[in-house]
Amino acid sequence: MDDVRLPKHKEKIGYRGNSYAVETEYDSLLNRVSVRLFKNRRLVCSRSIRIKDVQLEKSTDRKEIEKIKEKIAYYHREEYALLISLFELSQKLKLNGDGPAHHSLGLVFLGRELLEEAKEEFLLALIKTPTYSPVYNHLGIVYLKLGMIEESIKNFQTALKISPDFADYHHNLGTAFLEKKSYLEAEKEFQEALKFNPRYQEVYLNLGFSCLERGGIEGDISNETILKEALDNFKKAYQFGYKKDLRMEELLQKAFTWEDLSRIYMLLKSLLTEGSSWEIKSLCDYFRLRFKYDPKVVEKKEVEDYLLQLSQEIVEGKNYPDLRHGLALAYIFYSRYILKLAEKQFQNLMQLSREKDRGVTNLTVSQELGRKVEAWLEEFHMET
Amino acid sequence: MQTEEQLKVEKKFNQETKDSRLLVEKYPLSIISSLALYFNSKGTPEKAINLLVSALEKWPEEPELYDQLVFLANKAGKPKEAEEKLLEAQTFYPENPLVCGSLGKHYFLEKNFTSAKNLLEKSVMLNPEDGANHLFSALSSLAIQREDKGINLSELPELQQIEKDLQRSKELNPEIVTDDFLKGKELLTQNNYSEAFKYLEKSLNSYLNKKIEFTMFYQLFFSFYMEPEKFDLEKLKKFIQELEKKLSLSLSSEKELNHLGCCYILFFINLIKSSEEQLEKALILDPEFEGARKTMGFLEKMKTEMLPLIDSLRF
Repeated sequence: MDDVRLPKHKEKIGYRGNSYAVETEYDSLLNRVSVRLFKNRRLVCSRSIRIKDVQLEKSTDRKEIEKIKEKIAYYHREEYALLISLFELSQKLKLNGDGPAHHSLGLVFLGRELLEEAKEEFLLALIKTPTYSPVYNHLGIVYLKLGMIEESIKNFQTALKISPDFADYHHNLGTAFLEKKSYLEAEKEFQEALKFNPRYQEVYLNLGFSCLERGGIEGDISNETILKEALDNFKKAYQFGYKKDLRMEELLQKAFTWEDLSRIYMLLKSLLTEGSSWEIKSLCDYFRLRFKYDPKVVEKKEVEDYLLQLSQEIVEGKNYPDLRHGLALAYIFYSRYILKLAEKQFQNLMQLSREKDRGVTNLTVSQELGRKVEAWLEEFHMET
Repeated sequence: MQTEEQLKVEKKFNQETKDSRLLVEKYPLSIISSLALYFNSKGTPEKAINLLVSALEKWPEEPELYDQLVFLANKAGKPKEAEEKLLEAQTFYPENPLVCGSLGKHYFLEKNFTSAKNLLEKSVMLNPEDGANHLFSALSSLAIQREDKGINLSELPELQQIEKDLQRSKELNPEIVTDDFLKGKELLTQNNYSEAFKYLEKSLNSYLNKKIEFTMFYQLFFSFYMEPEKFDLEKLKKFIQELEKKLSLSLSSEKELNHLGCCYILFFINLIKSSEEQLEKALILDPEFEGARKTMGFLEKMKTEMLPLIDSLRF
């Protein structure tokens, strides 16, 4: 690899007094491409993409190296284009966006850890749809990330007032209490969340953590009841998680002390974070918005990449209903491009007079289908 | 009184006719056409003929079915069925070039060259853009002329017409051109008419075989309609890629251009199907998922309006 020069890509954009930068480079140790997003020179979010089936440092094939260089450049362009289109969408929504659209855009910003931008969108969403509980929930998350715990608790509580049956809201409120070190209140909320979703692994993890913290504060870290309670919760968190790990199973069998359990907590947390669906879910929101507000600008290749990414995430275990829904919508949107291709072939066929009749019939079919899909999408977007 | 064997044959025939009618009621025209090719590929051309005869009762104004009937009936050694239908059609559509052309082709294959020539000439006059008609017409003329032994054709206008027809068929239908076709043309210029006829007839036969081949294109549509559980999306994608590649190299014929368009439509339907499958899975995971329910509702409405349109595709 000595003679291989892999470029580090860097691009900047200024938006409403802030400067944003995207940096992309190859990490030879991990064989991954790392895409980082900076705001005002501070790292806000980073994404690591595995380069499949290639060990670049071992590769001597120049063509292969060139291919990887192209891939790195592609990931960089993709992230940069996404950032620009997010700002463009934000402008567009100010003119004609509804509450759920601002909410979705807020989620995409939140997925990129652009908290101020997310907050702004959520607040706009609340102006347009003041009783839409998910917005309060996500605004609560933003405040929690910004360290504004009281604001965060207030928002989670409002969300629960509107929709008291949501496990997520109880869990998030519990997390805010955990942050505030109000362990009993936190545990109460976690228990509430489990009533609605008894397989909620993050809740078990946080419940276990709360027990450990409580034990620590009470100065009784050898209290068997507390340790057993924490261990039971960790076991459940592991049981309901889709990632399995032999080392973790051994640890869960042998754990006795507070230190053992703290270690388990850290490992479990990293296992769950590894499988976090936050990023892909925010990508779903982003595309849903673009399908609605930017349908003519979205390129075929973008949708193909999105479809591929979504399918991979599902195959790798993120079998969530909203990802499946996202995939379903993407298939429908993608079908427009395929109809256009069909239309083009039939137009060409029509020009060859010998096949004119056939060309006319088939062109009519493809055009009519195209019209129906467009009308359907328009109607769908009006209603959702 | 009929023998037991005769009764058995009649019963089988009646059943097959009934089955054919059911198929014709159930499936669109293009699929019936694919189905006929499927039956032929499975070694049951008589089923294909029954099906096409039933199809022509439903769609008597679809002249392309007549060509298919002629070629399949010829392969199955059952030319009478084709002739009967064609004569019937001719009384209704005497000026239809495709009906004239099919009947001409039928007479040619039956070696009734004079009738073939008259009908094919009429068909060419009514529709000069059909390359296959030009080839059949040239061969009919050649067959008649070579029978008049001792005449030197080279000075006669007939030969010039034959050469013109061959040239037109080549221009209009490049897939007709094979080594045999070129050799036949060469022999013609050397006034070796009998040998020329043999080679040109060989190229015509290979064209006919291609016309009734149950190709990957037909297999894909057949599978989609008849055996949807076995439909292979990857095969479709691969086939589309092959056609796209051919098209980018300007190697594709008009037929392939149409096939590519139809394959895109098939791919489109499969995308809608995939979308539906994902929604079903989402709703299994969360039966209360309002968004997925709404999308499913829209999709069902869309499918109801879409399917009749797709059925009217013409291969």
